[in-house]
Amino acid sequence: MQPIVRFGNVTKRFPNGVTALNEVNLEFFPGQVAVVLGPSGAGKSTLLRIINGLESPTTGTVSVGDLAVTPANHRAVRKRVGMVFQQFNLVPRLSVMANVLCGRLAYRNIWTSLFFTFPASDFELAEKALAAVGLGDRAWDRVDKLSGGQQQRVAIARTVVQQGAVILADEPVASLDPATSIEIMDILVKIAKETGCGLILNLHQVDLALKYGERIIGIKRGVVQFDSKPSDLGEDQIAALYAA
Amino acid sequence: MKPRPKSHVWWITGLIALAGVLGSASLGLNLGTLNSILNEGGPALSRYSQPDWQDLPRLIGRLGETLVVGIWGTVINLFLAVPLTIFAARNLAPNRFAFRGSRELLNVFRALPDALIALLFTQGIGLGPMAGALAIGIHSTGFVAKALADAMERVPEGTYEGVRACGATRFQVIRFAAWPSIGREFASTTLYIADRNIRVATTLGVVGAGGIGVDLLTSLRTFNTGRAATIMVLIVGLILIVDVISNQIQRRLQ
Repeated sequence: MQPIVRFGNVTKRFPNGVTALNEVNLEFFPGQVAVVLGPSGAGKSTLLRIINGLESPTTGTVSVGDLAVTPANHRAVRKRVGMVFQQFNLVPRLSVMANVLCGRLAYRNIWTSLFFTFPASDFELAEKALAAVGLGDRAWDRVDKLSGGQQQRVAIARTVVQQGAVILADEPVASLDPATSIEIMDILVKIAKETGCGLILNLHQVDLALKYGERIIGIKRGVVQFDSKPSDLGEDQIAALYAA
Repeated sequence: MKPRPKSHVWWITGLIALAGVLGSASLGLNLGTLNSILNEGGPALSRYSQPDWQDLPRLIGRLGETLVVGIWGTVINLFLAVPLTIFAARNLAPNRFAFRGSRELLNVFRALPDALIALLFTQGIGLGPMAGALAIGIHSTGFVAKALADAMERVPEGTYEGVRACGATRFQVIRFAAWPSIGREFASTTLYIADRNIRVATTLGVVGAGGIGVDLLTSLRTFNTGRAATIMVLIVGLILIVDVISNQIQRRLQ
């Protein structure tokens, strides 16, 4: 199978001298739920943010499908890559519907955006996506009226209407209570399975990672420590990952 | 241990006081002058106690002109401020030069009083309301664009990032993340500045930039106290009405 995301010898060094990623080589595949584990500051976020160009590698190359991730390609890359954030990153003063339609912006030109004249097909997509995350009746409520779990569902719906090939989720449940976390994880995995998207998750809860992940990648100080099926993963490997 | 830092407060205060004392002698700023103003001010002001309503229809027309100058000044201000706002917001500007350049331009706009700009325009493009509206538009842009750019900078980075990660262009990020986030500030700033611009328009006639100000000036110069009193009543009336209307709209918005 062709990988949907490829890291070729990627190193990311920040101006303050921190090396977030150190010669990382990884491939991610469609329809696969991959979970990235690691202590705080291990480079998990950078790994995800480099895929859609929110950060650029210092050396090495990243590609999404057949597209190299370069500033000139950002729009084309982001069209294929949805992203869910820890803090939801929605526009609080817009309606749920408008936030979901943001996922269609890569397909739409300046005039459609200016006058909010999205075609009926976009609204249908958005309604379906909202129904899929269980928010069908909240389409015209303002996002800042919703609870955290509901906001994260809106963010997921926004990635669904992008009709991309991969969904990145950067600590998607770190701001949510345990019961809501399970709901959100169920929705994310269900959507990845239904659409055949690749799903790449950063998590800091090992139990959630083992429950949902089909592949677990451990990162520490920017270096991949292990990359295996959860069943093959020993407790000593996880303990070593989090050891100082 | 480092010595305690020296305070400059005392000698600066002393210098200002000295300048005040020397200046007051040459400018006639002293208690004697204040006393005579208080004594003679009453009778002088009482001459304005009988407004002369003869010229009312014409003056109301001029008052309308004032209103129009204030409103058009605000419209010009919006056309200038909206594009400048985007360059003047650090997190949305295309590059540092656009950011610095537009911020400096706004500083210049703010530093030049409306009346001064109006005076320049009446020399350049002739007397009349257009000069007044342009002057008001330019000066108030300095305030409006700065206030809105600051508001756009206060929007959390995550809000922009979420929309940017969808593949949105700079324009789309502005339309879907920046604009909705500052919509309320935009409405209340515009309302405040429209109110202020109409008040300023009442005085711009003094430099020949349209409106009722010039009638007030000629009435005062020709000691036509009755007419001057009427104009002042009209101006205060207009300002009160504008104030009531803008308060009403402000309340609706909240």
